Amino acid sequence: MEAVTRTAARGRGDLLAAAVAGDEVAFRHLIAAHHEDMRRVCLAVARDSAIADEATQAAWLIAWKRLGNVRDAANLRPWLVSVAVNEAKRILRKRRRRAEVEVATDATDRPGGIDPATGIASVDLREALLRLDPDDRALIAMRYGAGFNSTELAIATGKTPSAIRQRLKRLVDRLREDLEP
Amino acid sequence: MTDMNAFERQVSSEISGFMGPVRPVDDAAIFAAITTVPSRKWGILPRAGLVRPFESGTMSAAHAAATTHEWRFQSVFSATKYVVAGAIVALFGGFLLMGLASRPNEDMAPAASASSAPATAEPTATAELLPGVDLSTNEVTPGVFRVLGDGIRDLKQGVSGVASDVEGGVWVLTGGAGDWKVERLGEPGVVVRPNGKRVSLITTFDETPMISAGSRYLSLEDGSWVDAVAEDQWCPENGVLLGEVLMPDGACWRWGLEFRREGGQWQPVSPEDLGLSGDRIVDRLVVGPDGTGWASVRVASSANTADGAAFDGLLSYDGETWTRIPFSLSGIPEDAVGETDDFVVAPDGAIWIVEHYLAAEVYDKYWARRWDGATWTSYGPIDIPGWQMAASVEPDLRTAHFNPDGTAWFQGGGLYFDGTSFHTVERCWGTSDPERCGKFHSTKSASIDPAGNAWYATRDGHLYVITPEAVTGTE
Repeated sequence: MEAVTRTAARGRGDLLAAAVAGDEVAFRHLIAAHHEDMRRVCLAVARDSAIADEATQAAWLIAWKRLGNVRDAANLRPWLVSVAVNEAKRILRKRRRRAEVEVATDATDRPGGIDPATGIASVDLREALLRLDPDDRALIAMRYGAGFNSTELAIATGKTPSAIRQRLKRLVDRLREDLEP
Repeated sequence: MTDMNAFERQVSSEISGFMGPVRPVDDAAIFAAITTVPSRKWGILPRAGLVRPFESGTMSAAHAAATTHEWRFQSVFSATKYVVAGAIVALFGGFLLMGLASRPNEDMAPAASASSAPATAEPTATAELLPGVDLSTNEVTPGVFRVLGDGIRDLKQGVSGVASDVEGGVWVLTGGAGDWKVERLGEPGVVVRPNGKRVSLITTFDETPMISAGSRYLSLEDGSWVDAVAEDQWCPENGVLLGEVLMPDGACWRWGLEFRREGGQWQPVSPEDLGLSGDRIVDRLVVGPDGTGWASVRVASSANTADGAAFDGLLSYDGETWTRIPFSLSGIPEDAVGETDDFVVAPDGAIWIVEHYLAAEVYDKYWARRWDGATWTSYGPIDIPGWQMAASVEPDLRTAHFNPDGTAWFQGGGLYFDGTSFHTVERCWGTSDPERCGKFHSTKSASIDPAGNAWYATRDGHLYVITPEAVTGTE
């Protein structure tokens, strides 16, 4: 299993090196592998599909120019997602300063029943998630939506793994305390 | 992810719902878009955003999401255009002059004769005035444009305020009677209606417009108008706004009545606290790029001690010690109420003050004073009849603008400094009656954009742009 992991890592590393060198096929592989992670986390942050698309596209342009800054292939996914999230927050700030953004909320379109395991209504949890600031919602999306581990979260946020674990725990605890009957 | 508790699983389910399903990725199209950025003549790849082709910042997200999915680039590299525009300004400013130059301490000649340029000329598109915005204008006199529309809205009349932002965008105030609109030119859908009190567009901070409504000062944050000054801890960190400035001791100071704020409480400051005699007042405050605080000092008016009379030099402040820099005024009655139009620190560190007096014998005459750290230089009196700026009542950073070549605008664009002497802008637009020059278009609001153009909302509700070309007269 370990050998397979090392091989996969070497494969990712080779792909990254080739993309940095300007290999179109390699870069397109990276796009295919990571675009949806980036876009979907941005969608959770911005709650606006147009902003999520714009942010992800802007992030790829940044990646095209700065991919050489990523030394370790294992850092690539969190780096790309963090770049996209930063772009989403930037666009969000700009849009909100200039106009009321119509948020395409679908939260109320989905079932809002009470989860029997927690006793918490889904609709209440959605609203609580919407009330989070974009940074916290990005953290939740990366962890529970995109499946980032604490090392990847640390890379994406610039914190240490232990610090990000604590922050995430406090965030989840606060959410639960706010929602528990 | 497998060791999640029940609540975390519920969170995972809900946040995944926010993120939506995984869609197919057209990596070839994305890659093609990245690698086909239009080249720029200056040979650098601009920082750019890859966006869908919807109108910038204005269309609703739902509408935008429904538009055709094509790929293109939109430059957001605003700084570049400032550099280019600055170079244009510098090019014009150095050698194209008009009107009546004033050498230090020399009188200025009367304004130039009236222009016969008709105000009803065919509209022309002048996109270069505001890059990216489809402005429709009439050039009422060389270098002066009346704005008729921005491709989205009619601006022929009803404009009562204007302010540029650091990105080069221009905000206008229109409407009235409880239905005011503050909108950024070229961007539809940016409509805010702060109902109730009379509204004035004052200035912008970064990209955010700031208005006054009654006794409140509001800025646009997250699509809503919020109190900007009522908050106890608010203080501008990189400039002066509404008389408040963050001084080098870390406290917020408010000029005029001299207050210093610490811990949310305003504390009165007496002239003696600053080493001044009791018959002096601090008129304005500003902080230079090196962190030094500066105060302009006036003789207290005998009629009203809250007013300043003759200009009486400066105080510099390093955060601990106030140092007096005296000035000897001549030719102006000492008890004439004096008003400051600009009190600014130039990029070279020189302190500039542009002022005028309300005494009959010097009414409508202006002076500029410059302290270079060692000596004073005075320019004037400068005669710009009718150029009474309502905007000067509000301490707006952008009533002065320094160009990289040493030229500068002062008094909201009323005065142009070519590096040696001052010049005025010809003001007889839209009238052939010399008696009405200047007064015909008296300024209600003014702002200078980062490219060096002066924007005016006039009392008759018109919007004008004055470019540096206007002070040249000839090419």
